[in-house]
Amino acid sequence: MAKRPAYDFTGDLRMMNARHEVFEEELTAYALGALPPEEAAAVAAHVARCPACHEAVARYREAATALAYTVPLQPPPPRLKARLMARVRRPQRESWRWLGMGAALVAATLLLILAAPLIFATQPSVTPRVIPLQGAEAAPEAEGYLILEDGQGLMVTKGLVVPPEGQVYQVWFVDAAGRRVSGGTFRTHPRPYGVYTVTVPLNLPVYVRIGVTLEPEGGSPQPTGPQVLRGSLRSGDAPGP
Amino acid sequence: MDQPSADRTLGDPAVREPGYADLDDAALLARIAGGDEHALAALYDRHGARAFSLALRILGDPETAEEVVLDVFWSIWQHAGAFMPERSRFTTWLYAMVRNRAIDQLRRRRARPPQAHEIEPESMEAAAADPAVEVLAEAEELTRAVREALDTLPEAQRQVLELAYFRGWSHQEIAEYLGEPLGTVKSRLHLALRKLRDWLAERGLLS
Repeated sequence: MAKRPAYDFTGDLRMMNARHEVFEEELTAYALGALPPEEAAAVAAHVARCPACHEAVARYREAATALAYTVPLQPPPPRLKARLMARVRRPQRESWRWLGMGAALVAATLLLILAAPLIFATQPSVTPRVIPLQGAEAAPEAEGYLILEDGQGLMVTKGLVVPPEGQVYQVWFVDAAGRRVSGGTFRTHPRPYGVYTVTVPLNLPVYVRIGVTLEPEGGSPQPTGPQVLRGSLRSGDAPGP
Repeated sequence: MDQPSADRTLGDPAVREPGYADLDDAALLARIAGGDEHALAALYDRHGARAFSLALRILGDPETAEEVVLDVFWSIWQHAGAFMPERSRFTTWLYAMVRNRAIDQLRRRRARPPQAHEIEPESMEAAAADPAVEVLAEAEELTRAVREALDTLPEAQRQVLELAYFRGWSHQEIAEYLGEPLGTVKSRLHLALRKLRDWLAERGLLS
């Protein structure tokens, strides 16, 4: 312990050994998130190994957070609580539960897709319908399927990256006049495949296209972000004749 | 999960969760980790207004502030079990999370022109608190102490602290904005936060 420098920094930061006050300044700035990324990384590396500095940063951070109490209190819009509780009550809230169910659905879906020609050959007009989705401009590598059965929709995606923090994917049904209705939002997980439920509009036959766009958390009334997937709901359109 | 019919009021901001008022934040979090929706509603009732006010102060835009708070409480619902109440106070974690996400939004917004409904954060400072919002006794004590501490600071120190905290600027950005040397800003920021820490610690308000 005695042979090791108190702060194991490289480059310029090594100089701080000599100037404790300067290092204290780094710690307060770090606690406030006011350091540029490289400096923050160096301080973080030190703090992770130094219990005393770790404790100091925790106290500075707690003191900084107390500034939240200087803000004049404003009532949040009443719908905020309603939105929170509505979201909590959605059955698909727990992603881990989805993981198991998702895997089973992927297996079932793949089976369905493989068996589709067989099913359609015997019962051509009966659901489920399997609509292939192609990657759009924002995600050319992505692909997927929308499976429609009895007014229920299931979307299988492949190669769709996890959206940035605060953003979600939103499904759209588009009619011949270009009017759009939301089919719900979803967030992908860091794995190659994802399976998500889609809210299918009751008047499904009027819709001719489907699209998926990147939107702010909670979804948008109309698409605002880039498109990641698209497909045609007209049986004659895609992918063949 | 089956919901009793009394749950119809869940999500109604006017309805407080009976029986949850005596539970502290750690106890509510333990219940949330177990999937108790009423505990989340109670936690929101307790801290939602300040979380929203903080996000609004940083962003100046009620709609984005709403999304930030929704997102944070949603994370609490999903990860309540991961929060270690013995390690730090829940509110420290909560408001740090609100601030970080609000500042992320602020940075994202820099790339695009300001929207008409976005209020300049400075104009919020003058806004009075809404008397309809309940204030917790412990929050009241902390609020008073922080205000007193800020009052003892030289104006220049208070200013850099607020720019760092509410705008999420680096000391370099603050130095450029104020036209002051970087070293001056660093030392003001340090003195200001150290003073605030000592002031709160002396009054037993830090964990």
